[in-house]
Amino acid sequence: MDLVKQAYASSSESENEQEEQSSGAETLPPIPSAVLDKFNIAPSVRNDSMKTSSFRHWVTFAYIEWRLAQKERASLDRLLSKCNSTIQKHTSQEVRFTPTYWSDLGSPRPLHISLCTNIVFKQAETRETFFKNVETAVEQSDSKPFKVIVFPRPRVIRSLTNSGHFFLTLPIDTCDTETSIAQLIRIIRDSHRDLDATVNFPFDESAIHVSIGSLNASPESVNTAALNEALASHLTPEIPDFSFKATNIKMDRNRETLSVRFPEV
Amino acid sequence: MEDIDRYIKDDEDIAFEFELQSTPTNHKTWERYLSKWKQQLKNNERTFNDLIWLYQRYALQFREDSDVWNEYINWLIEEQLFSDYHGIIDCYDQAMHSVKGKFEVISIQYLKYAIGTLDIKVIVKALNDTLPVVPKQTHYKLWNLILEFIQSKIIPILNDNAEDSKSQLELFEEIVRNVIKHNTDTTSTEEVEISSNASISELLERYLVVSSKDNRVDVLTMLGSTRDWVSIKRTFEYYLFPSDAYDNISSDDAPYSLCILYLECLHHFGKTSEAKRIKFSNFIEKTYPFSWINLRIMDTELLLKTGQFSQLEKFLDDALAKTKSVKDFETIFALHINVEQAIVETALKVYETADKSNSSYIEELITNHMQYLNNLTKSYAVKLNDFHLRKNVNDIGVWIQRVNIYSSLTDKCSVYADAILRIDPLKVKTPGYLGEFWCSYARLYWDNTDIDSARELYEKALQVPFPHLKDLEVIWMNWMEKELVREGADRVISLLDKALVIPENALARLEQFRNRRTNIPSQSVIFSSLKMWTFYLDLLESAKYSEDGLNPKLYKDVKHVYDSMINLRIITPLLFTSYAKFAKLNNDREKCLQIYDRAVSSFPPTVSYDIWKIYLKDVMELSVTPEHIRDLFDSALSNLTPQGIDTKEIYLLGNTFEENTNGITQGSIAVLLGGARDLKEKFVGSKLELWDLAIEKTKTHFGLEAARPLYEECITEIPCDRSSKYIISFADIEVVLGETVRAREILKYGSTLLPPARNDELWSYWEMFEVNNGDKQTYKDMVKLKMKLEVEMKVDTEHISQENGNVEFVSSKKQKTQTNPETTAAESNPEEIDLDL
Repeated sequence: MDLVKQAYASSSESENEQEEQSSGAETLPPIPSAVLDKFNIAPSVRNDSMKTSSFRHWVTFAYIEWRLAQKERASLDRLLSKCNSTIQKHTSQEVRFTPTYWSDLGSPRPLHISLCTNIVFKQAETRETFFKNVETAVEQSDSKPFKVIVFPRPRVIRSLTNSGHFFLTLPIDTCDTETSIAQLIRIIRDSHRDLDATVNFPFDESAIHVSIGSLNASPESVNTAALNEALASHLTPEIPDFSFKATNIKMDRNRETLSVRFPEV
Repeated sequence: MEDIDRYIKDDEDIAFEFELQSTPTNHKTWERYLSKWKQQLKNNERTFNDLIWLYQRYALQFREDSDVWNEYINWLIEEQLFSDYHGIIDCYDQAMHSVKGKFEVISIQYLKYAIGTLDIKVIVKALNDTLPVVPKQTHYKLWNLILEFIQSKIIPILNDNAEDSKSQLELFEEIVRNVIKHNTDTTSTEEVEISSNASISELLERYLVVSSKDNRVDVLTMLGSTRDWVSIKRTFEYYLFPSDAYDNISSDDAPYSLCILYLECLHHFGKTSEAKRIKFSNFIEKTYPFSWINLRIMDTELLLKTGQFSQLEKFLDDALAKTKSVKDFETIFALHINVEQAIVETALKVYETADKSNSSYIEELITNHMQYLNNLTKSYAVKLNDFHLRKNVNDIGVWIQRVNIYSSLTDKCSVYADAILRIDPLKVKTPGYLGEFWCSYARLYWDNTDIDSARELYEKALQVPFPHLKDLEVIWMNWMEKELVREGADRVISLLDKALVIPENALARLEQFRNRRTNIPSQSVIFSSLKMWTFYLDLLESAKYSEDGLNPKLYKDVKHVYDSMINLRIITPLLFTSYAKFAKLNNDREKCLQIYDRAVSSFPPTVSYDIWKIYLKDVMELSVTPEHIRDLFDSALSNLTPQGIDTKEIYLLGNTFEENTNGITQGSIAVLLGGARDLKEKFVGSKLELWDLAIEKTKTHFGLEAARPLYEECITEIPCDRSSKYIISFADIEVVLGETVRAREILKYGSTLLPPARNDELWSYWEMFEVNNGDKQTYKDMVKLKMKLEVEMKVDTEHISQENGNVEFVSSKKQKTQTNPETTAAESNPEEIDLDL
């Protein structure tokens, strides 16, 4: 293996040697969210030209982003591990949730609180109008940055769009943030109400959550009630509540993500 | 006349006086009289006063005659009788009031004299005196004198005094000094300085009234030199810019130099003309785009003059941000440096001598502008980089330069982030540059042990829609190299498994990407990256070598990688052979043969020849039947030899195979002979090598007689010029066998293949042969044959060159005749007699 390491030694190592020496213990700033948002979604590799239909949809999705700190990811790792072991120990179901806060390639991924289901527009211009509507509504509302508390009380839910897809979710604080999140959901809904847009199914405002794990299995092989029963009865997370400050609404536009900041007080 | 007795000194004077009494209007008498007195003046018998007295009488007698006045005044000027020029001017004044008609000559003389005094008042008076009395058609002569005077005498002085002669820094320092003085001295007035060249400007203004339009630009330019801003403003607005609407003014009507002059004039009127100045400045910039820099410099001067130091910073920064060429950038930057330096240095000088109790203004000025100057000098590289980015924001090289400007990691990160937000990936021309740029950004985090952020950046980079595959390859490889060092091969293999997933329609997608019919991101074809596949392979194979024994799973994985490359048609000949050898190493004989078969059929003959050589060598080491191997040899030769490939190596391999299988037999030698016969004529070296081997092996293993047919065939097949060696060798055999007659016949045949001159080796051998084996007659026959062949086989190059289609060496013949004509003449007629006539 050393031979391979030598053969593929990074050309950058020698270049950066000097830089490292001079840099000392300087702390690097966090990556700006604008950089992460610019190419948030990978380009589609579907072979569009081979499709017979030329019809295109202009989809968007609005959410509050939770960028986890390293310690929070470690806590969630522990929680997820406990969930999986509890399920295996106390149910007969061979299921194992994989984390949603790590990407397939092993890099950190933010979690999100959905504010709507996918909204489909027939024209790109209409979607732009929607974005403007949201921006104006947020600006005119009394929305301001607010604290979101996430409880380490996992619960399994089934995907509304894919019956073979399951999520391990955590509830968020409804006392402190209900008003704020409800207001944001209302803003999103009102912003596309009069536009030529469709949603596949209604958004359930009563079950706002954060998904920390996902599972693909045959619909019959998973009994969500049993899983939730096992988790409620036997899981003792022993980790404190999570919390973060919500400062903006994020909306997907093609590969990039738009950010609408709440007015500062 | 009462003094007449004082001046009349002799009878001749009395005679003249009597004559003048009788004929006072006779010029001749006056002239003779004056002439006589001038002579007496020379002889010191008279004084100048005497002559002046007589000339005045003469002039008064002919008071209306300009010639008389002219003569009188010219004499006065010539003799330099007045201590200053006012006496002469008075005379001219007197003359101008007396003369009637014929003013032209005296007027010109008067004005010329006035100009000569260089006294503007006198000149203006002379012009005022002369203009009304000369005819209008003569006015131009007077004006020409005036203009020539202004042009030659006044303008150079004005220009010497003008600010242009100073360096920019000196000029700024002077301006700043005045401003500081004004701001600190409460007794100074607020009046704008008005130039004192009013008389010249007045003259020019008067001339403009009568001048033609053609002269206007020159005169206005002269007027500009006077720096009489009031006059300039009035005149320019009358003749060039009558209204604030500049839209209808063309560059022909208002040349650039006059526009700048007028703008400078408006600057001198400060706030009262500010709106007009801004509007006019915009007009100049629009009409003369090249004026952009000059206008910025003028505006800077104005801000300095009006003491608006605090606005200079923003103004010059904005100007710098709008520069479009390196030259403009350097000019504006130098301007900014000069401004700050002028303010700081002048303020320091003033501060040294100023009253310290009242110097807070200067202290503040020094502190602020020291800071500005310091920042400015430090920010040169960044500002220049800004300029290059304005020209092409997608130039990765410029961004890299910008990263290197900063030393702190935070600043570097900020540049990377800025770059990524501003660069359009589709407009980066060089493949791989943007990918490497992203990697540099991620490496900053990785090398500072913020691995999560680095990984997040690498993954984001993989989501950029790069048009070139190389960018994605660079990012993947860079990331994986880092992971390999940190986490090991398993982590990298898991990344590769995700990266190199082959889609269903892989080849169609690749074809589409290569043809660029649609805007396909390189992510759609990342599975075709040979670099990543070979990296994958190296990781797998190195894992294998590190373990004891063979690992079936690993073998399967490696096979999968190789097969994927084959299916994607990205595999190279070298990888094909590596694959086959890998299969051989794993004792998978069938797979090895399949791979080789696929390899030789996948590449053109020139490439597959090398694969065949490896294939045939390897196959001999496998447990394959001889018939199968022979079939492979036949297949290789039938595919390659007709395609013009030198397959000597394969014939040699075939011979080795036969010898190893059955020992040295006629069959094994036949393989060599097959190559010697079948190879194309152009591979002479290979053919001879095979003949040599075949003959040698036959002689050694089957006796000399068995070699006869081979020699017979060989010497007829190979080229004549390579045959001597084989003829001699063949003859040697016959000698050994005691067949000297056969040997002689062979030598006879060999001798006819080449001219004797080129066949020395054979003839030497034959001579020795006859000495040892022949007699006198055979030796004689040999010599006769040689002489005969020398004649018959002589190559007449001159004759051949003259044949149709060949090149004749004409010029060399001509040169020969020209270089030695005497010799040629002598040779043409040796009996010629040299007659000395």
